[in-house]
Amino acid sequence: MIVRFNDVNPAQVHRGGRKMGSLLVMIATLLLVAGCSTHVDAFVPTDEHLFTIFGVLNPAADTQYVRVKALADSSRLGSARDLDAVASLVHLASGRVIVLRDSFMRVGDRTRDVHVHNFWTTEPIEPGATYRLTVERSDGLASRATATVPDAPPVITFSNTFRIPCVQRPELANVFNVVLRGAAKIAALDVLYMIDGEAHRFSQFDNLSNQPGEIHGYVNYLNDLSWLSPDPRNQLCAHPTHALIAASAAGPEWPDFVSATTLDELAVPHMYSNVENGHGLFGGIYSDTVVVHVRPRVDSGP
Amino acid sequence: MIMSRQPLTGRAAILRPLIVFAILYISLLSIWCPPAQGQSYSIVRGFVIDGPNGTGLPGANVAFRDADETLYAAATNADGFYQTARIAPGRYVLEVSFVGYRTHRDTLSVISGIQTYSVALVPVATPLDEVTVEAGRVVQDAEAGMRRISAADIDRIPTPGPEGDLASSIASMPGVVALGDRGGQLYVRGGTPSQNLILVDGLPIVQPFHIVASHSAFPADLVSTAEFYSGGYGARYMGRISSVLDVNLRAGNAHRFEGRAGAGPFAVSARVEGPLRKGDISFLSYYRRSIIEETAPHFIGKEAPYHFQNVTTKIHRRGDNTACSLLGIRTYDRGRIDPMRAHSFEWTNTVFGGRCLGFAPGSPHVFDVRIGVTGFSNTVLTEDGTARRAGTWRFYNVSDAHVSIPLGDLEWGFWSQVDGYTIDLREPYLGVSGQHEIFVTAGVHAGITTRPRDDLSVNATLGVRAPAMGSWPGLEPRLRLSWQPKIAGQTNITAAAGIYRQSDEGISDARDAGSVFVAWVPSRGTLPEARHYIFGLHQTLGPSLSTHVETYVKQLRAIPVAKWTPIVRFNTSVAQADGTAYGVDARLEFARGRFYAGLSYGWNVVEYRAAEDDLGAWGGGEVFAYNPPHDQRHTVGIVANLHAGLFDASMRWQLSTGLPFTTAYGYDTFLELRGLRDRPEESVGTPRMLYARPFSERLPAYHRLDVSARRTFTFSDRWELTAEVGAMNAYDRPNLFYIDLYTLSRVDQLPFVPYVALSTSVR
Repeated sequence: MIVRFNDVNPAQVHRGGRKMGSLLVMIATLLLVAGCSTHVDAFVPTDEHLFTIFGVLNPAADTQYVRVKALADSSRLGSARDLDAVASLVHLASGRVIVLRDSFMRVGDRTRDVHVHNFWTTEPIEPGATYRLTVERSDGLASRATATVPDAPPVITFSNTFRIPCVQRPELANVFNVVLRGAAKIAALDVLYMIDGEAHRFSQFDNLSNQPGEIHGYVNYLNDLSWLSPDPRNQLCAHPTHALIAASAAGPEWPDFVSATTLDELAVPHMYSNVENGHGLFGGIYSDTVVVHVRPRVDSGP
Repeated sequence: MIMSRQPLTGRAAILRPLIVFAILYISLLSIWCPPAQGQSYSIVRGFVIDGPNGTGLPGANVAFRDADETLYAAATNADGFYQTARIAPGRYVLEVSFVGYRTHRDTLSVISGIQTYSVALVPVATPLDEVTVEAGRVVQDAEAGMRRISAADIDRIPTPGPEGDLASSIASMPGVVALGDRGGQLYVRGGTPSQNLILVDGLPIVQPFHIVASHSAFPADLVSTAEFYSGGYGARYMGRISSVLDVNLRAGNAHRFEGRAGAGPFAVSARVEGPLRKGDISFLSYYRRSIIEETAPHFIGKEAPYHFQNVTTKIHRRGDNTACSLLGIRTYDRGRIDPMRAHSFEWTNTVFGGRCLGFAPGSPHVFDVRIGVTGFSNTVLTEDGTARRAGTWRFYNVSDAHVSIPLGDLEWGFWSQVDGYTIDLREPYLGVSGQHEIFVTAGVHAGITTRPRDDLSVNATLGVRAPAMGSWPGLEPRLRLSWQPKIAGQTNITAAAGIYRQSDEGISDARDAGSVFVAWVPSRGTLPEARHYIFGLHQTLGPSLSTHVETYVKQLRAIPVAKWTPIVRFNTSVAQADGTAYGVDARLEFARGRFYAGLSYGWNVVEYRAAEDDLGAWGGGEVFAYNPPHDQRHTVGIVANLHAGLFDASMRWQLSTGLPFTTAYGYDTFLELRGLRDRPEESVGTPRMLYARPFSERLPAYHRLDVSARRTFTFSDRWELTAEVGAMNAYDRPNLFYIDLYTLSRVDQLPFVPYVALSTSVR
């Protein structure tokens, strides 16, 4: 590569100096306009979204719990002890008001000191009624949600037999079927395996399918009880004394959750929320439970 | 194992691309035309080396002038190799020149055919007469989107010793966004760090920038030259869509042993080099280790939990017709980006490979062959039990060649690589997930550089890439122009355009500014693509003053971006976004005698667009448009360097407007009422962070002044001591580095850091 020089007009140099001057002015302007502040507000609570509310009203339950978290509370797990909120339920047909009591309750496993505000009441919930929940701040701003409780719980029937011990094959040897009638929507289907007096809950909600006039489900107890097996090498599954099937009918506002397949999608705040000025889900359910007895498997091989 | 990207099935899925690939490769071989005997032209080639130490001199001028004063010129490449175009046989006056060396003059009878002529230049003490050619040469050598960086350029940037580093030079360029002084992530003209191709002696390295971002695996002590393409590069660089940093390390001294050791507040380093076989085989070993973890509490009064080290060894052999090297690099970084939290980041790079540049006597072809393996892994451990590990490795071989033909210079090459990807994530509440994949790709490239007119150079290249098993090959045509019209002063108008694709991508969590954990994954579906358009004007405004203005547009397609989720965890599921990056970079450089000053300004805009449902964002609309966190609108930089008497003084000042970030408006724990899996009275729930419209706010502006002064004491011919004093962030600006939206913790960049660094060299 060869380097050559041409004569340069001084006017060009002068123009170059002017350009440099313009750039310096621009730098000074940028510095003055944008360069001084170092403050950042990364957390900006809004009056548009006040509280997160999660809870259900269930006539079959002795106590109703509603989780309330102030979104302006920057606690990451759980809540701060102080919560500026009053929660109340209004029975819309009668206008009767139930003021929920606050609790600062420890939840989760014992390794973590996580406390949350669960509002609660032992007032009876009327089947078929519609309730309006209001969580109000002292400045009058509030988050609200409405829930209708189903008229009746689902009628639970099951076929096949719950036999222990589990076997490897055939695959269907560890399955019993459940049929739910009398409910347009189902909020939950659980099996509670009773082992040494302790209940171990496993959701069977993903095993449900809609059939004309009824909802079918199945329970693959080998899948569940293998998690609880005390000796997985020699014993395919744990041996419960009996099991409970718990099914909950859902009220009309309960989401179908059809478009969400992952936790990330479920957690998008506006996706499955019925809370005004807030996030979360507040619904009505009605539960029933039946007992499933465990039978010894007489034909189990080695 | 990924078997296809498109719905090709069965044997066709494997054979079809291979057949196309084979046809293309054979076609390229067929246009390789060996010279006939009795030819009526000559080609002269050889090496230009430093006489005392035997290392190649990159960028040296080799000029042949015939009796009619017609000039034929060539410049040496990174190995000191040059080759002329076809010239007529005859008698020529030869001049070989290089800044800092005595010009070599000779009269040469050039015979018909291929002729080898190598030169050893002798250094001179005061190269001031050569320095005055700076402005003209910088303009004439300008190429679209490309900056050449020499060891002298690196030394102009104040770095807290014991030597300068290429990382500081790159980060000071307009159009380059460095999120901060930790983490070592560089965003170039709208691209992301994982879209940058970084080569060292032609071998890829994934993340050579250290956790203290002013340091990298490329200290000034090792770098011979570096070419930094912020776009518009030719088809010999394939596989990345944003930029290329092509670093060439110098070879060790082939004649005598020498060494250097140094210490600064951030690191200590040592270099040793010498002949393994005097005159042709040399070695060079370099080791650097950070000490900032130990020293910071004493000189800045704060904890600085950063540790890095890198070791490099290069063995080089120069023959009459070849220059071959073996290179090994290992880097290790560990640290906590936020010193207040127990988040611990760790990453390593391993590079081992060889490169041979050579030619056979009598053949006009010059070959450049590389083969090697490179690996990268990174880990982050957090106090809440999160453990994320991800890595990638690549085995590759590259064979490039070029040959002079009547139309110009023909280049072509072949490459193939096997990539492995590993991801293991353990998240509290969310369990363990893993991913292990292997992917095979190969490609060819060909192109020609021709001069249809004396003042016009055209470089047209075409790259063809195909997964070895899978879809149809993709074509990547690229064009580069350089026009030097004869108008006032010296003018160089450059332009480049091309199509670029990438077959894998590094995914990082965009919610936290400054997150350095990257999970490499093969690209799914449509490959990420960029179309570059660059136009540049380079002009001398006097013998010492030059200006460079370059405007660019990058159209981005199918860029993988991490899906948005309110769940507080690292997310490897990606959506594809389209986008546009555009802007202007301007530089004004003054170099006279012992003084250099450069003023730069960059204006850049980056916009991404993605289907809102795909992205998981909630912006209100079907398509969500946003400025990603590397959309830095304005950057201003001033660099000055003065050799004043016994001292070298340097300063750098940088100003950047704030980067986009996302604010949070609430925190809660999500109870999964679907199936009543969580109950208020029992479950904690899944931690959730609720944020406002993504990237709708801007962080504060960044500005910082670094200064240094250096003096070298020469005690004898064999022993020198260099002392450097300086200060980083001289006026103690609290520049923000990192905000963790989940913990709301703020981490600032380095405060005012005065330093003293010493290094001594022995021959």
